[in-house]
Amino acid sequence: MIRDIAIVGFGLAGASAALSLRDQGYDGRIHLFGDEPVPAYDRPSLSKSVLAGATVEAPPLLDAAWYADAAVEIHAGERVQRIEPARRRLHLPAGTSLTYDRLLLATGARARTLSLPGAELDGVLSLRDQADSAKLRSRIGPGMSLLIVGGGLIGCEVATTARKAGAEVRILESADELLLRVLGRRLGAWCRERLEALGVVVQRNARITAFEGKGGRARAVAFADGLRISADTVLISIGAEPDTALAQQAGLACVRGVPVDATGLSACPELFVAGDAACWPLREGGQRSLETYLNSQAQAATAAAAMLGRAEPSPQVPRAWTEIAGHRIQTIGDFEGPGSWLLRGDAESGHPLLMLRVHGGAVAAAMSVDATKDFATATRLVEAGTPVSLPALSDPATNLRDLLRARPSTGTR
Amino acid sequence: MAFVRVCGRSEVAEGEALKLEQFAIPLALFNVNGEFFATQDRCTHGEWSLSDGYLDGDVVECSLHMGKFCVRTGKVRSAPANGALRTFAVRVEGDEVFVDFDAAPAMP
Ligand SMILES: Cc1cc2nc3c(=O)[nH]c(=O)nc-3n(C[C@H](O)[C@H](O)[C@H](O)COP(=O)(O)OP(=O)(O)OC[C@H]3O[C@@H](n4cnc5c(N)ncnc54)[C@H](O)[C@@H]3O)c2cc1C
Ligand code: FES
Repeated sequence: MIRDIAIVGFGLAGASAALSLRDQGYDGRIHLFGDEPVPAYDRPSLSKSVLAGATVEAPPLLDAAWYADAAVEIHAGERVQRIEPARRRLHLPAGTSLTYDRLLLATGARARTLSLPGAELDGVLSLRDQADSAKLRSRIGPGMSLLIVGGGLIGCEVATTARKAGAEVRILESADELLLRVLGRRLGAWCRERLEALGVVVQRNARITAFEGKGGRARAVAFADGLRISADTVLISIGAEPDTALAQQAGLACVRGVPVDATGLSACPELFVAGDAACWPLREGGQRSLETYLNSQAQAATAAAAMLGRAEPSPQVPRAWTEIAGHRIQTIGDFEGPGSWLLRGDAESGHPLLMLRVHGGAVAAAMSVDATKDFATATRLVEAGTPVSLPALSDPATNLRDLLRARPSTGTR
Repeated sequence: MAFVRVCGRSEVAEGEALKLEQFAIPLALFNVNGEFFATQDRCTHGEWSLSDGYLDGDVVECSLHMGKFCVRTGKVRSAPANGALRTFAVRVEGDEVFVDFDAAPAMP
């Protein structure tokens, strides 16, 4: 009989798991530990509306009243120090410990750091939590300059927000194009042009060697070719590292995430992992930490069910959204992979545009720029593996929803 | 109770939604298998129109971040949506659809 479920990490995956447990009728105890001072909030807003100052605090994920009504025992501001899976025990700073029946690790990820001289200077920032966002927000007004190291999703989102707030913004990207890994070259180049049109300076193939400061405060960035550029504030946005500290201490082998099966179960019985911290199997093969909102949410629901003995394997299809230079970009499936791409929409201006990767008679991946409604249908084509024909998909007159209705999923791909 | 005509019945196909912007509160009118439901059009999570969303039974999925709401009750069905929608009473008479902006629908 399962009576005590402990959840470590009070972010999206932790809170979603608690919600799922109650939705599924579990009425035992739920102990939810998080080291941030506040209950789970909308982390994606930290680089968007919260950074823009539209709201002072990130919107909470669930109403505060829900936790009380659902009798979830929340411990915000408590960092779990150590876990002992063999004894089903976790340890808290005050020397107290808790014995559980099932444990969910939902510890998320941390911003990756750059080990360069001067990285510790005041003004060299990263962005992962609410405190980081508040610090950055105070430094992106008119007349201020921001250097962003890393032109990935968070770097490009922050560039958009900071530029709109009036700051001088420059992105330093080590590759020859922005967003290559997540959006590919075509969309990466398109986003760069849109950012440049907003007044963001984009420097590609950038090789930085050090941060320079005065009186402990960052003042400039130095490049391999000897040049330097002055900056009041530097944001390091070069990706995230899944936080596997607890699992590693407990002896689990981790590779960018704690390896789990498609129900979230780790190599230890009774120990489950969901969200950014999990290295989760993909439907297209392989496994990795996905670091997206929707996948974290889905994994949490799957792991919650599995903890209650209702395991339903859920190999993931990566899904993400972002907002860059005022455009809504959404993706499902991996950009790289077999098959051929076809475009629907306004290919010339670049939006609205829906790009589909078709492989084996089904849509394997889709990317959308401002084509939200069609994208919603495209995600269902991908998820259901609906058989499609290239001519029908390519025809601008085809309503995608008709394809979904006309060809019920066969479940095979 | 003041019902106002908002559109013709045939303007919203089954499984679809219509955005009605001409009112003080922009509305989304949903046709769930022939039953009509009206909610505020703006998602409670962000600046986005729920009539752009994907309707599956009586649940609409916001097309921006995939938050979900029940269009019958306005209740949140999935994050990132984090606040209930305002819902309005709907009456269908013949080919016309009427909405009462002052009243929430009667709950079963
Ligand atoms: C700025 C930003 C913008 C983003 N924008 C988007 C977006 O637009 N679209 C998208 O799809 N995704 C976006 N993401 C990614 C998305 O937010 C994450 O995928 C999601 O938050 C992962 O949820 P999680 O619960 O696994 O981890 P988190 O949300 O990181 O939560 C983990 C929590 O566990 C806590 N924790 C860690 N160790 C311990 C411990 N030992 N004891 C107690 N607590 C602990 C952490 O402090 C943290 O609060 C963004 C992320 C960031 C940082
Ligand atoms: S705007 Fe609707 S879910 Fe975000």
